[in-house]
Amino acid sequence: MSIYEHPIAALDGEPFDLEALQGKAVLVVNVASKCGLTPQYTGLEELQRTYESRGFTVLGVPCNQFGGQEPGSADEIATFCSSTYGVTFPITEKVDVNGQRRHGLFTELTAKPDAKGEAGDIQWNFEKFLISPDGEVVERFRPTVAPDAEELVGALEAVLPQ
Amino acid sequence: MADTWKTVKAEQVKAGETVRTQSGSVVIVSRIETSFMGMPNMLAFIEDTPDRWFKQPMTADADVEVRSS
Repeated sequence: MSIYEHPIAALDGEPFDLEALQGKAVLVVNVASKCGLTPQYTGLEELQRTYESRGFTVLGVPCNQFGGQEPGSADEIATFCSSTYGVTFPITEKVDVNGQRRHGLFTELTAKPDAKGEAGDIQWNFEKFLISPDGEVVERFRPTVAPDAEELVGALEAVLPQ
Repeated sequence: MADTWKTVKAEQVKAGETVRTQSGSVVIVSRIETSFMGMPNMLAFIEDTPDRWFKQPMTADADVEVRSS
């Protein structure tokens, strides 16, 4: 099953069209509003603004499974992201990324090993998965890899369609 | 009969126990991850049940309560 075929809603509850991301490079990130890594939103938005015109987008996916650090409602998350970090990239509904109720999108993503060859469960908030324009999960970056890390930016630039 | 809770260090908790953290969060500990995020003084309790998957990191020497009924 392609990563684009897993139904998911946008943060406002309306269906989110994952298929519209075909042909783009995508960085999928499980996000949280009350995490020590939450300031990574700044770097993620910077990536969005730098590379959006070249066929790239960040896709934020809120999750409350790590320390309960994304407890808010959809409205609260949306307000936090826009008012605190000026986020312009799309954000989906809150989902599970690990466990028996893991969303299908993350079943696909977590099969990808990280740089140490370890696949499986997401470690914490702000894990990042780079998807090529043809839908292949090409890289997995653990939470402490910053959005502006050389390894991440280099991998991103290598898969940009334009 | 009401549950009773015993205070222990986080590093003394075993898989299968139910813990209550200082914030009041209750976790059914399915397994324990050591050196959470590469930090040797940290561990993480992982609840992995049909109802919930949840990860709660702690410093190893933090006080938590373990339920005994």
